[in-house]
Amino acid sequence: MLTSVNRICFTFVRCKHKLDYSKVPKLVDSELLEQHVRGSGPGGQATNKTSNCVVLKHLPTGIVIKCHESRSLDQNRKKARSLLVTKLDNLINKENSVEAQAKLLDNKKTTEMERKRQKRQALKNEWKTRENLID
Amino acid sequence: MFRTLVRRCVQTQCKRLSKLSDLSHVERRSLSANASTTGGNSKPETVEDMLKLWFKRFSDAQVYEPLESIANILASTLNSNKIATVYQERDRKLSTVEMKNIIEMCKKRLQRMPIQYVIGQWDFRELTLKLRPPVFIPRPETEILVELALNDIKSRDVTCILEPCCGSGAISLALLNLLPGLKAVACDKSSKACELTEENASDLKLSGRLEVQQCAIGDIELKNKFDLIISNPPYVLSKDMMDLQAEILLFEDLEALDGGLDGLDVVRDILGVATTYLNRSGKLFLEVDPSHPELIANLLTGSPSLGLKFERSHKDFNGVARFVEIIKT
Repeated sequence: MLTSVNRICFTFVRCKHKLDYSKVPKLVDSELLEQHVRGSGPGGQATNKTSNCVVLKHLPTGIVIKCHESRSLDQNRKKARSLLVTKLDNLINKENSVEAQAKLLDNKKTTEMERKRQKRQALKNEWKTRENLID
Repeated sequence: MFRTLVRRCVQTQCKRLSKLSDLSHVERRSLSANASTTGGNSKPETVEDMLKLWFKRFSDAQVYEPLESIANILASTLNSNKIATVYQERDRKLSTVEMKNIIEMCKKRLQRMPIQYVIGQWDFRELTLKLRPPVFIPRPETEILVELALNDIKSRDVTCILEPCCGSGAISLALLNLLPGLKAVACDKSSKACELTEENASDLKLSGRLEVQQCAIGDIELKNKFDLIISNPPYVLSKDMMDLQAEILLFEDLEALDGGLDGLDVVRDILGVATTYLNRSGKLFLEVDPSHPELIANLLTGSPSLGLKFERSHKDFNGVARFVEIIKT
């Protein structure tokens, strides 16, 4: 019982991994221009269209996000907003943006794995020379 | 001791490596064999083959939204509700059964069946709803109507809502899904619509808080009063009915769209229901034709006996006045 609790705590700490969200910019509604590519026509009940493309423009920076990932208009609007936040975060906070932080962590992991792999390789080569197995 | 351990490690690794190289060899061979059979004009096998083939066939037959149609059919075959999946898995080979299903669905689309009926479902806000002919397919504009009501409900105390003309149940279910303390009564005169609403409610595990009644809006009899009434009633003007898309005319229940000469036949009934069943300072939210907000405002000022006051109209995402907000005085 005790060990399982310990393990849960351990994974929790590991997952949290020091991503700093404090600098992520907040969207201001008055700075956004949302448009919908639904073409002309009466709309509402009189139209049956499947595309729900949302185009979101951030007026101060001119960044434009286009999202037609989902079949639901609401989900596309929310996704467009979250994509815009990520872009703004990268633009304003550069190496301190959440995405950059996550990338850095990921890079650290890969270099660590690479280091371990090279160590194993060195050991293998050493063993081969020792046993005269060089081909 | 250490040396033997290392040796064993290296040996197993070598074995694994040799296995891997064998496997990749086999794979490579099968891939090249594939490439030679799919090249040229042979039978379609992959997702991409079907996408290209049916895009062309739909375009030739002048089916509306040809690319979206086949992409949605393929996405549903791949058990996904996102078109992006189709492009991610474009090299996937389709089984004979899958092929048969796709062709079956494409044939329905060729007959102009709306894509939402062809694949049997569609998304509305956070929900995926089951849809089948002839029950009205929820439109994206109505997602905005739900948002208007949602903002209102959050700003005051609302425990029970009424939805006349519920169709597939989209509005009630979207609100119940977001607000765990809310209860709703939905009604529709079509038995097929009521059945579908109940089915969707039980699929989404929301049936405990939703009561469905089959009756015409004019004959409705309810035990209690409501804090909010919301509806997307039939509002298309009779003169506009003949200009509808073939998809709508052929497959959707036209009674769910036809609002009579001025498009307000059912809206007037709902105003009557609001007079009787809305609590004081309760609100009524309606989706209507762009010509309606002004007419409704005049109608309400002209008949003070209704006890309803026109609060304001709201625009949809095309900048058209599509929604009205009415308050009980």
